[in-house]
Amino acid sequence: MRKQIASFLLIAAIVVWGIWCGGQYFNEARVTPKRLSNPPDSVVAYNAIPMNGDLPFFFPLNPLFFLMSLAALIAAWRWARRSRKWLVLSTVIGFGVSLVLILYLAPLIWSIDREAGSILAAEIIARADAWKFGNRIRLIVEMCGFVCSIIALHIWSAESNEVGVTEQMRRTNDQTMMTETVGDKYENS
Amino acid sequence: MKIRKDIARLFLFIATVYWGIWLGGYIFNALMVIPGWSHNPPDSILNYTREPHFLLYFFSLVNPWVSLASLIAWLLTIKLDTGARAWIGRATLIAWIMFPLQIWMMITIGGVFNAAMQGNFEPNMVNTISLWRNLDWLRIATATVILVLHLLAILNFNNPRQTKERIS
Repeated sequence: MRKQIASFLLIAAIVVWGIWCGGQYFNEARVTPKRLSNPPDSVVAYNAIPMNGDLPFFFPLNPLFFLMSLAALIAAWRWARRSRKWLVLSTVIGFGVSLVLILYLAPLIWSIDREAGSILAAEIIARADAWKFGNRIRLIVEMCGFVCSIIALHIWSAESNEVGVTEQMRRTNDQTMMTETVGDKYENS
Repeated sequence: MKIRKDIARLFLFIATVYWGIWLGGYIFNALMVIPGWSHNPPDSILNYTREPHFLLYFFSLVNPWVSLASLIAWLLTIKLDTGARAWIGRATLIAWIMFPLQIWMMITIGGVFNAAMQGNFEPNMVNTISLWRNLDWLRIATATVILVLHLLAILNFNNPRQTKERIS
Protein backbone atom coordinates (compact mmCIF):
# COMPACT_ATOMS: atom_id res chain seq x y z
CA MET A 1 0.00 0.00 0.00
CA ARG A 2 2.78 2.43 0.95
CA LYS A 3 4.62 1.50 -2.22
CA GLN A 4 1.53 2.44 -4.25
CA ILE A 5 1.33 5.75 -2.41
CA ALA A 6 5.00 6.34 -3.27
CA SER A 7 4.30 5.57 -6.95
CA PHE A 8 1.31 7.92 -6.91
CA LEU A 9 3.36 10.72 -5.34
CA LEU A 10 6.14 10.18 -7.89
CA ILE A 11 3.66 10.49 -10.75
CA ALA A 12 2.06 13.58 -9.16
CA ALA A 13 5.51 15.15 -8.66
CA ILE A 14 6.39 14.64 -12.33
CA VAL A 15 3.07 16.14 -13.47
CA VAL A 16 3.71 19.23 -11.32
CA TRP A 17 7.35 19.42 -12.52
CA GLY A 18 6.12 19.22 -16.13
CA ILE A 19 3.53 21.96 -15.63
CA TRP A 20 6.10 24.17 -13.94
CA CYS A 21 8.78 23.68 -16.60
CA GLY A 22 6.32 24.06 -19.47
CA GLY A 23 4.92 27.24 -17.97
CA GLN A 24 8.39 28.67 -17.45
CA TYR A 25 9.36 27.79 -21.00
CA PHE A 26 6.20 29.48 -22.30
CA ASN A 27 7.01 32.53 -20.20
CA GLU A 28 10.55 32.62 -21.58
CA ALA A 29 9.42 32.09 -25.17
CA ARG A 30 6.30 34.24 -25.40
CA VAL A 31 5.97 36.64 -22.47
CA THR A 32 9.44 37.76 -21.36
CA PRO A 33 10.58 38.88 -24.85
CA LYS A 34 7.50 41.10 -25.08
CA ARG A 35 7.58 42.36 -21.52
CA LEU A 36 11.32 43.08 -21.37
CA SER A 37 11.92 43.96 -25.03
CA ASN A 38 12.51 47.62 -24.32
CA PRO A 39 12.51 48.37 -20.58
CA PRO A 40 11.22 50.40 -18.85
CA ASP A 41 8.62 51.36 -21.53
CA SER A 42 7.77 47.75 -22.48
CA VAL A 43 7.35 46.86 -18.78
CA VAL A 44 4.97 49.77 -18.22
CA ALA A 45 3.03 48.90 -21.41
CA TYR A 46 2.78 45.21 -20.50
CA ASN A 47 1.62 45.95 -16.96
CA ALA A 48 -1.03 48.29 -18.34
CA ILE A 49 -2.76 45.39 -20.16
CA PRO A 50 -5.95 44.70 -18.18
CA MET A 51 -6.36 41.07 -17.20
CA ASN A 52 -9.91 39.82 -16.93
CA GLY A 53 -10.20 36.57 -14.99
CA ASP A 54 -6.51 35.67 -14.86
CA LEU A 55 -5.43 33.15 -12.23
CA PRO A 56 -2.11 32.76 -10.43
CA PHE A 57 0.49 30.35 -11.82
CA PHE A 58 3.80 31.05 -10.08
CA PHE A 59 2.80 31.04 -6.42
CA PRO A 60 0.79 27.84 -6.05
CA LEU A 61 3.15 25.86 -8.26
CA ASN A 62 6.43 27.25 -6.95
CA PRO A 63 6.68 25.43 -3.66
CA LEU A 64 4.40 22.61 -4.89
CA PHE A 65 6.88 20.96 -7.28
CA PHE A 66 9.48 20.89 -4.50
CA LEU A 67 6.99 19.67 -1.86
CA MET A 68 5.68 16.90 -4.13
CA SER A 69 9.24 15.75 -4.87
CA LEU A 70 9.99 15.77 -1.15
CA ALA A 71 6.82 13.78 -0.36
CA ALA A 72 7.69 11.23 -3.07
CA LEU A 73 11.25 10.95 -1.72
CA ILE A 74 10.02 10.33 1.83
CA ALA A 75 7.39 7.81 0.72
CA ALA A 76 9.76 5.88 -1.55
CA TRP A 77 12.86 6.07 0.70
CA ARG A 78 12.42 2.63 2.31
CA TRP A 79 12.30 0.69 -0.98
CA ALA A 80 14.35 2.96 -3.23
CA ARG A 81 17.89 1.77 -3.92
CA ARG A 82 19.29 2.96 -7.25
CA SER A 83 16.43 5.42 -7.72
CA ARG A 84 17.24 7.13 -4.43
CA LYS A 85 19.96 9.35 -5.92
CA TRP A 86 17.60 10.53 -8.70
CA LEU A 87 14.85 11.23 -6.17
CA VAL A 88 17.29 13.18 -4.01
CA LEU A 89 18.64 15.05 -7.04
CA SER A 90 15.15 16.02 -8.19
CA THR A 91 14.22 17.21 -4.68
CA VAL A 92 17.47 19.15 -4.20
CA ILE A 93 17.02 20.87 -7.58
CA GLY A 94 13.42 21.69 -6.63
CA PHE A 95 14.55 23.15 -3.33
CA GLY A 96 17.34 25.16 -4.97
CA VAL A 97 15.06 26.55 -7.67
CA SER A 98 12.38 27.52 -5.13
CA LEU A 99 14.95 29.23 -2.97
CA VAL A 100 16.53 31.17 -5.84
CA LEU A 101 13.09 32.24 -7.01
CA ILE A 102 11.92 33.39 -3.60
CA LEU A 103 15.15 35.10 -2.56
CA TYR A 104 16.42 36.56 -5.82
CA LEU A 105 14.41 36.31 -9.06
CA ALA A 106 10.92 37.13 -7.76
CA PRO A 107 12.01 40.23 -5.74
CA LEU A 108 14.05 41.36 -8.78
CA ILE A 109 11.16 41.19 -11.24
CA TRP A 110 8.81 42.75 -8.70
CA SER A 111 11.22 45.65 -8.27
CA ILE A 112 11.29 46.08 -12.07
CA ASP A 113 7.48 46.09 -12.20
CA ARG A 114 7.15 48.45 -9.26
CA GLU A 115 9.84 50.95 -10.16
CA ALA A 116 9.69 50.98 -13.98
CA GLY A 117 9.14 54.58 -15.02
CA SER A 118 9.97 56.03 -11.62
CA ILE A 119 13.74 55.41 -11.45
CA LEU A 120 16.56 55.71 -14.00
CA ALA A 121 16.01 53.67 -17.18
CA ALA A 122 19.61 52.38 -17.05
CA GLU A 123 18.94 50.85 -13.65
CA ILE A 124 15.79 49.08 -14.91
CA ILE A 125 17.66 47.82 -18.00
CA ALA A 126 20.46 46.43 -15.81
CA ARG A 127 17.95 44.66 -13.56
CA ALA A 128 16.03 43.29 -16.57
CA ASP A 129 19.26 41.89 -18.06
CA ALA A 130 20.19 40.29 -14.74
CA TRP A 131 16.73 38.77 -14.43
CA LYS A 132 16.72 37.42 -18.00
CA PHE A 133 20.14 35.80 -17.48
CA GLY A 134 19.12 34.28 -14.13
CA ASN A 135 15.80 33.09 -15.52
CA ARG A 136 17.47 31.23 -18.41
CA ILE A 137 19.86 29.45 -16.06
CA ARG A 138 16.94 28.57 -13.80
CA LEU A 139 15.00 27.19 -16.78
CA ILE A 140 17.89 24.89 -17.75
CA VAL A 141 18.26 23.67 -14.14
CA GLU A 142 14.49 23.10 -13.91
CA MET A 143 14.51 20.99 -17.06
CA CYS A 144 17.24 18.87 -15.45
CA GLY A 145 15.06 18.47 -12.34
CA PHE A 146 12.10 17.42 -14.48
CA VAL A 147 14.15 14.82 -16.39
CA CYS A 148 15.68 13.54 -13.11
CA SER A 149 12.19 12.94 -11.71
CA ILE A 150 11.21 10.92 -14.83
CA ILE A 151 14.40 8.84 -14.56
CA ALA A 152 13.64 8.30 -10.85
CA LEU A 153 10.19 6.93 -11.71
CA HIS A 154 11.62 4.58 -14.33
CA ILE A 155 14.32 3.18 -12.03
CA TRP A 156 11.88 3.07 -9.13
CA SER A 157 9.46 0.91 -11.15
CA ALA A 158 12.26 -1.51 -12.07
CA GLU A 159 13.57 -1.91 -8.56
CA SER A 160 10.17 -2.01 -6.86
CA ASN A 161 9.43 -5.01 -9.11
CA GLU A 162 12.75 -6.56 -8.07
CA VAL A 163 11.98 -5.93 -4.39
CA GLY A 164 8.48 -7.34 -4.89
CA VAL A 165 9.86 -10.53 -6.46
CA THR A 166 12.54 -10.84 -3.74
CA GLU A 167 9.95 -10.39 -0.99
CA GLN A 168 7.69 -12.98 -2.62
CA MET A 169 10.61 -15.44 -2.88
CA ARG A 170 11.55 -14.83 0.74
CA ARG A 171 7.94 -15.41 1.84
CA THR A 172 7.80 -18.63 -0.20
CA ASN A 173 11.10 -19.76 1.36
CA ASP A 174 9.83 -18.95 4.84
CA GLN A 175 6.65 -20.90 4.19
CA THR A 176 8.61 -23.88 2.86
CA MET A 177 10.91 -23.81 5.89
CA MET A 178 7.92 -23.58 8.23
CA THR A 179 6.24 -26.54 6.51
CA GLU A 180 9.47 -28.54 6.71
CA THR A 181 9.91 -27.68 10.41
CA VAL A 182 6.32 -28.66 11.21
CA GLY A 183 6.79 -31.87 9.19
CA ASP A 184 10.01 -32.72 11.08
CA LYS A 185 8.31 -32.11 14.43
CA TYR A 186 5.39 -34.32 13.37
CA GLU A 187 7.75 -37.11 12.28
CA ASN A 188 9.82 -36.86 15.48
CA SER A 189 6.75 -37.03 17.65
CA MET B 1 15.28 -6.62 -29.43
CA LYS B 2 17.29 -5.05 -26.59
CA ILE B 3 18.23 -2.05 -28.76
CA ARG B 4 14.61 -1.65 -29.86
CA LYS B 5 13.46 -1.72 -26.26
CA ASP B 6 16.01 0.98 -25.40
CA ILE B 7 14.85 3.13 -28.34
CA ALA B 8 11.21 2.64 -27.30
CA ARG B 9 12.15 3.70 -23.77
CA LEU B 10 13.96 6.79 -25.14
CA PHE B 11 10.95 7.83 -27.22
CA LEU B 12 8.65 7.24 -24.26
CA PHE B 13 10.87 9.59 -22.24
CA ILE B 14 10.91 12.19 -25.04
CA ALA B 15 7.11 11.99 -25.42
CA THR B 16 6.66 12.39 -21.65
CA VAL B 17 8.92 15.46 -21.53
CA TYR B 18 7.09 16.94 -24.53
CA TRP B 19 3.66 16.35 -23.00
CA GLY B 20 4.80 17.85 -19.69
CA ILE B 21 6.05 20.99 -21.43
CA TRP B 22 2.96 21.15 -23.64
CA LEU B 23 0.68 20.91 -20.60
CA GLY B 24 2.60 23.48 -18.57
CA GLY B 25 2.79 25.93 -21.46
CA TYR B 26 -0.91 25.69 -22.22
CA ILE B 27 -1.85 26.06 -18.54
CA PHE B 28 0.37 29.15 -18.30
CA ASN B 29 -1.18 30.50 -21.48
CA ALA B 30 -4.73 29.87 -20.21
CA LEU B 31 -4.09 31.41 -16.79
CA MET B 32 -1.80 34.33 -17.54
CA VAL B 33 -1.89 35.24 -21.24
CA ILE B 34 -5.31 34.49 -22.76
CA PRO B 35 -7.16 36.70 -20.20
CA GLY B 36 -4.97 39.56 -21.44
CA TRP B 37 -5.92 39.41 -25.12
CA SER B 38 -9.47 38.08 -24.80
CA HIS B 39 -11.07 40.46 -22.32
CA ASN B 40 -12.05 43.19 -24.78
CA PRO B 41 -11.58 42.12 -28.41
CA PRO B 42 -10.59 43.42 -30.93
CA ASP B 43 -8.75 46.18 -29.00
CA SER B 44 -7.19 43.76 -26.51
CA ILE B 45 -6.02 41.51 -29.39
CA LEU B 46 -4.45 44.48 -31.17
CA ASN B 47 -2.80 45.57 -27.95
CA TYR B 48 -1.42 42.06 -27.40
CA THR B 49 -0.07 41.59 -30.92
CA ARG B 50 1.65 44.98 -30.98
CA GLU B 51 5.45 44.67 -30.97
CA PRO B 52 5.87 40.92 -30.86
CA HIS B 53 9.43 39.97 -29.85
CA PHE B 54 9.53 36.21 -29.73
CA LEU B 55 13.03 34.78 -29.35
CA LEU B 56 12.02 31.15 -28.84
CA TYR B 57 9.16 29.24 -30.37
CA PHE B 58 6.61 27.46 -28.28
CA PHE B 59 3.62 26.39 -30.38
CA SER B 60 5.55 25.38 -33.50
CA LEU B 61 8.22 23.66 -31.40
CA VAL B 62 5.84 21.62 -29.27
CA ASN B 63 2.54 21.12 -31.11
CA PRO B 64 3.57 19.01 -34.11
CA TRP B 65 5.80 16.69 -32.11
CA VAL B 66 3.83 15.67 -29.02
CA SER B 67 1.41 13.31 -30.75
CA LEU B 68 4.12 12.10 -33.12
CA ALA B 69 6.53 11.22 -30.29
CA SER B 70 3.77 9.22 -28.57
CA LEU B 71 2.94 7.41 -31.82
CA ILE B 72 6.59 6.50 -32.46
CA ALA B 73 6.98 5.26 -28.87
CA TRP B 74 3.86 3.11 -29.25
CA LEU B 75 4.94 1.72 -32.63
CA LEU B 76 8.31 0.77 -31.16
CA THR B 77 6.64 -1.23 -28.38
CA ILE B 78 4.86 -3.51 -30.88
CA LYS B 79 6.00 -7.12 -30.32
CA LEU B 80 7.94 -6.06 -27.22
CA ASP B 81 7.16 -7.84 -23.97
CA THR B 82 6.40 -4.72 -21.97
CA GLY B 83 3.46 -3.66 -19.84
CA ALA B 84 3.92 -0.10 -21.13
CA ARG B 85 2.30 -0.87 -24.47
CA ALA B 86 -1.31 -0.74 -23.30
CA TRP B 87 -0.76 2.58 -21.50
CA ILE B 88 1.12 4.28 -24.31
CA GLY B 89 -1.49 2.92 -26.75
CA ARG B 90 -4.31 4.57 -24.80
CA ALA B 91 -2.37 7.84 -24.57
CA THR B 92 -1.62 7.85 -28.31
CA LEU B 93 -5.22 7.05 -29.17
CA ILE B 94 -6.53 9.97 -27.11
CA ALA B 95 -3.84 12.28 -28.53
CA TRP B 96 -4.78 11.46 -32.11
CA ILE B 97 -8.52 11.68 -31.41
CA MET B 98 -7.85 15.20 -30.11
CA PHE B 99 -5.71 16.09 -33.12
CA PRO B 100 -8.54 17.41 -35.38
CA LEU B 101 -9.76 19.58 -32.50
CA GLN B 102 -6.25 21.01 -32.14
CA ILE B 103 -6.14 21.87 -35.84
CA TRP B 104 -9.62 23.41 -35.72
CA MET B 105 -8.69 25.51 -32.68
CA MET B 106 -5.50 26.70 -34.33
CA ILE B 107 -7.31 27.73 -37.52
CA THR B 108 -10.20 29.35 -35.60
CA ILE B 109 -8.05 31.50 -33.32
CA GLY B 110 -5.77 32.39 -36.24
CA GLY B 111 -8.86 33.61 -38.13
CA VAL B 112 -9.99 35.72 -35.17
CA PHE B 113 -6.53 37.31 -34.79
CA ASN B 114 -6.30 38.01 -38.53
CA ALA B 115 -9.78 39.56 -38.53
CA ALA B 116 -8.86 41.80 -35.58
CA MET B 117 -5.61 42.92 -37.21
CA GLN B 118 -7.22 43.60 -40.59
CA GLY B 119 -10.16 45.49 -39.07
CA ASN B 120 -12.72 42.81 -40.02
CA PHE B 121 -13.60 41.76 -36.48
CA GLU B 122 -17.28 40.85 -36.21
CA PRO B 123 -19.27 40.98 -32.93
CA ASN B 124 -20.17 37.27 -33.08
CA MET B 125 -16.45 36.45 -32.88
CA VAL B 126 -16.69 37.13 -29.15
CA ASN B 127 -18.76 33.93 -28.90
CA THR B 128 -16.11 32.09 -30.91
CA ILE B 129 -13.44 33.28 -28.46
CA SER B 130 -15.59 32.14 -25.53
CA LEU B 131 -16.06 28.68 -27.10
CA TRP B 132 -12.35 28.51 -27.90
CA ARG B 133 -11.45 29.28 -24.28
CA ASN B 134 -13.72 26.49 -23.00
CA LEU B 135 -12.27 24.04 -25.51
CA ASP B 136 -8.79 25.13 -24.44
CA TRP B 137 -9.55 23.89 -20.92
CA LEU B 138 -10.92 20.66 -22.38
CA ARG B 139 -7.67 19.98 -24.21
CA ILE B 140 -5.68 20.88 -21.08
CA ALA B 141 -7.70 18.29 -19.13
CA THR B 142 -7.14 15.75 -21.89
CA ALA B 143 -3.40 16.47 -21.97
CA THR B 144 -3.25 15.88 -18.21
CA VAL B 145 -4.77 12.43 -18.75
CA ILE B 146 -2.34 11.75 -21.61
CA LEU B 147 0.66 12.77 -19.46
CA VAL B 148 -0.50 10.50 -16.61
CA LEU B 149 -0.92 7.61 -19.09
CA HIS B 150 2.66 8.16 -20.29
CA LEU B 151 3.87 8.05 -16.69
CA LEU B 152 1.93 4.83 -16.10
CA ALA B 153 3.64 3.47 -19.21
CA ILE B 154 7.03 4.32 -17.71
CA LEU B 155 5.96 2.74 -14.41
CA ASN B 156 4.99 -0.49 -16.21
CA PHE B 157 7.79 -0.51 -18.78
CA ASN B 158 9.72 -3.29 -17.03
CA ASN B 159 6.64 -5.39 -16.32
CA PRO B 160 5.71 -8.18 -18.75
CA ARG B 161 2.81 -7.58 -21.09
CA GLN B 162 -0.59 -8.58 -19.69
CA THR B 163 -1.94 -11.05 -22.23
CA LYS B 164 -5.20 -12.97 -21.81
CA GLU B 165 -3.29 -16.23 -21.26
CA ARG B 166 -1.14 -14.62 -18.54
CA ILE B 167 -4.16 -13.14 -16.78
CA SER B 168 -5.98 -16.49 -16.82
